[in-house]
Amino acid sequence: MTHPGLDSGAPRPDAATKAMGRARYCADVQLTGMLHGVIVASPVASGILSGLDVSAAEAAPGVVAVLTAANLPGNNRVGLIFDDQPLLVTDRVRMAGDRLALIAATTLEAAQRAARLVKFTIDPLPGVHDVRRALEPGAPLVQEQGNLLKEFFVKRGAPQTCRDADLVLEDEFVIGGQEHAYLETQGTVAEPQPDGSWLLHSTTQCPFYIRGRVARFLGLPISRVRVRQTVTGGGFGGKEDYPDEPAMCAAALAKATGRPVSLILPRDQDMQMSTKRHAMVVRHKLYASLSGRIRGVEVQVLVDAGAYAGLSTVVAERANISSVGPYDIEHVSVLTQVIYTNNLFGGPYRGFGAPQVAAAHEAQMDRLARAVGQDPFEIRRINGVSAKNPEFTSGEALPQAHLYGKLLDELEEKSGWKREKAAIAAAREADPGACEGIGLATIIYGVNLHWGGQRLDRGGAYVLIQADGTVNAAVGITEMGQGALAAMRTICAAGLGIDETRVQITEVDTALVPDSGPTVASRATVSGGNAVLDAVRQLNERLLPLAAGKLGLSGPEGVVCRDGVYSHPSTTVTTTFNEVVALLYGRRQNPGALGWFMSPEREYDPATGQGRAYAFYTFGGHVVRVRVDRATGLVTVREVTAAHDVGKIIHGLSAEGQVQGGVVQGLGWALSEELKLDAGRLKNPGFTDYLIPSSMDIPERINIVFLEEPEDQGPFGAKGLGEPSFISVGAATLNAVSHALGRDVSVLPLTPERVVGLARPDAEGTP
Amino acid sequence: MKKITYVINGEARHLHVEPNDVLLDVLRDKLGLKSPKCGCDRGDCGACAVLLDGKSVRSCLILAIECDGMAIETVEGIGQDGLSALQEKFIALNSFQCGFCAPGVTISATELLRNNPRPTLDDVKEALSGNLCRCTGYTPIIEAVLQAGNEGGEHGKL
Repeated sequence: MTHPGLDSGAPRPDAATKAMGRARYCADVQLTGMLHGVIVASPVASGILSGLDVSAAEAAPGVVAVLTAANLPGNNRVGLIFDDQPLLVTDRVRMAGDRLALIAATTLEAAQRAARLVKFTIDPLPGVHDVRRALEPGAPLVQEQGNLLKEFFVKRGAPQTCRDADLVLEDEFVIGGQEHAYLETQGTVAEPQPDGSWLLHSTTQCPFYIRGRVARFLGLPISRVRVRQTVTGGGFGGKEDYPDEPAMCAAALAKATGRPVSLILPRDQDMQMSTKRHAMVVRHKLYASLSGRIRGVEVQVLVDAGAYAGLSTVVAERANISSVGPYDIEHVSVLTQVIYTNNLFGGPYRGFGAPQVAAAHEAQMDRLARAVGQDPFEIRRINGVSAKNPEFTSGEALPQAHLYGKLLDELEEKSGWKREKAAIAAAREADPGACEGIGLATIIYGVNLHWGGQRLDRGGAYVLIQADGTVNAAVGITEMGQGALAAMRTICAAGLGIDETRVQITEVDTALVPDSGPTVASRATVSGGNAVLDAVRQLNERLLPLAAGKLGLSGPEGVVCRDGVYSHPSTTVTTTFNEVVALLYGRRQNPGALGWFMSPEREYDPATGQGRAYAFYTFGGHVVRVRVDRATGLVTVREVTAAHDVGKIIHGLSAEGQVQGGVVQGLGWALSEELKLDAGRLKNPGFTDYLIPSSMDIPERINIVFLEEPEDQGPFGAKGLGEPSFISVGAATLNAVSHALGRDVSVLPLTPERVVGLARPDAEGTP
Repeated sequence: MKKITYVINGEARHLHVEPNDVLLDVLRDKLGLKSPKCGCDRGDCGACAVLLDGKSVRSCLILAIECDGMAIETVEGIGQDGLSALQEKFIALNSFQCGFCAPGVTISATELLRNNPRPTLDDVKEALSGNLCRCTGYTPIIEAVLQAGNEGGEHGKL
């Protein structure tokens, strides 16, 4: 391992189960009497449902229940923040994929056959498909109250600062959305319990969200709904809030039939219906001096929310504060508008709006560098936050602002920036047709929840020491593949001073652990880990005095446990963890503890975007080296260097895995993944033509740099890494392609078709 | 309904299938072999791969009835006499994150190593090109296959 962590190097706890094909995902849950559910959805994005006839479906063989808005046995509301979405359409269709009916049958095939027998009439209405035109007078209304859902602001400094700027750079960036493409599609198995309570088996990042919305749907107290997370086949944000919807559908069918119902979305429905990374239009204007110092930045971000709010406003809140980058700039003005359209349903996706705005702010940094004759690294040093200029866009003086410069130094060195740039220049000298480029992008990211969501920024964990000296811990944060179980195990073992293999972590069961908020925002290691450590601290308060007694000491001060052995510098006597645990049990002392974590309370003014937006931040950056084939438009990624300020590595291989996976997913977004829409309907709802990277598409080399300067608020100093590993990949790729082509680029993804257009000698603007 | 026979993971199994039953569904629902996964149901993702007479196929694209009399191997079979050298490498190198692609990847890589015990990097990339993984960026998977080829190929545990 090139990047050792706090862990022992033992394989992650779920490694063997997964390698042996034994992990049980949602679709692997099979229950006696279980029915299969399917959804009948609207193929059109805007219209009025004027006719719905389910009689043929009801009469079809194997069908047990057909539900429409008229006979739905529960609350027909979906909205989590805004009440703007029904579970089943009553009259108005607002997006392709809106649910018209639900069917439960004895087999999946019978349910699918019945779905084709549902007759519906939708009278089409004009839709809104361009976020730039959605606010024009006369634009069709997606929601009755208007197409503008919400606005966010940053108002910092005064525009006068920009008045005598030497240059102004302005552009509009059109940034595409992205499908999460978790390999396991969305789904839930809803299991009514004999006592009238409910058990749901769900693939999800956020079991507590499902519990809340299903309880509301069924009209039950939350203690009567229990959600057990099944092994989850990827999330990336797509299993934050969206899984509640199939869960409500499965619960509706189970309620209507009194039988367990498995509802697993087929891939094409999943891609059409579920949330996506938001497509955004970013208008970015930058004022600077010839020295390269930025005087001011004015940004407008148009967020295409789709037809329903979902969590779009929360994503936009982060895009808003992220839209300038890791720079200390005197005047900042940001307007972020969240806009309803009849396009795909926007929602959380790794980076939460930051990758889109990063593409704009980092492209602008490179243009500024070119305009004033500076190197891209140098222009970022001139403007970046530092110990001397530590104020970020929110006006916060960042305690670790000095790490940004350090990250730039490491990234420049490790990527061989100067050498590679010189080689590219020399190759061009020799052959003007050579088309290689190198690009840099950097970001700052709050690896916890924004002020607006801070009430959820908490975590709980039960740690229970068993009589034989092994440990069970139940945590409130979820494993979705990223390695959370491994990190929690390492933290728990390190806190107690025992071997990792003694610790068993239990996946989330909402009846067993406190609502720990969502597993999002790269916050699992910190919120879950701190909760585990709080429990461990309480347990050590009981164990250490017992150990001290065994060592013949009067008090526990200075007693430590390492590798399961307690010792003290003043004595050669030692005692083992097992002996001390035996004593704990012998004395009938409480062997368990509930640990709790909450991030610090913060003050922030949403009218100005000034205050403490996040509890703490991380810096990250990528250098991407590409070769562009001007004739075919194909971009080949030669090498990527990633640098992250991680505080402290907890589980080494998982940390590396996040970076490798984030890079490749980011390259997919930047180069090949295009959501093609026809009046709001997805034309490529499958992996045949929605192209996520395969093993043939990966870079020849990925270099990883981790800066490990501890963060006071993190367990053992750790910060989050899951999203930063992705965020600046797209922006760095855009800059690399721009460098290769020798022209401005203002669009993502850079699919071959677009690159061919950009590579034409006469090409103007952006396609 | 037709009576057919498979040799599944070395054991003969007789079963009745409908002419339109898909192999993936038969394996998962009738035979209880849950390792093959349905990721796309149209042959794009490779999560449903199994070995059919030693060749990897996408079980979502094959009718069960077509496989009458054939030998089928799933990941349940590959690990049944202890972990293969490949599986040991997958575990040691943290090759999988969410793990949903793991069964299909294991099938494709096993097929490769049986036919080509010392594959090159390009061989491995090509052999895995039909198995989509969204979490790992493939590097730790490819590395495990290469290492299993260099070490495991010798004692034939594949």
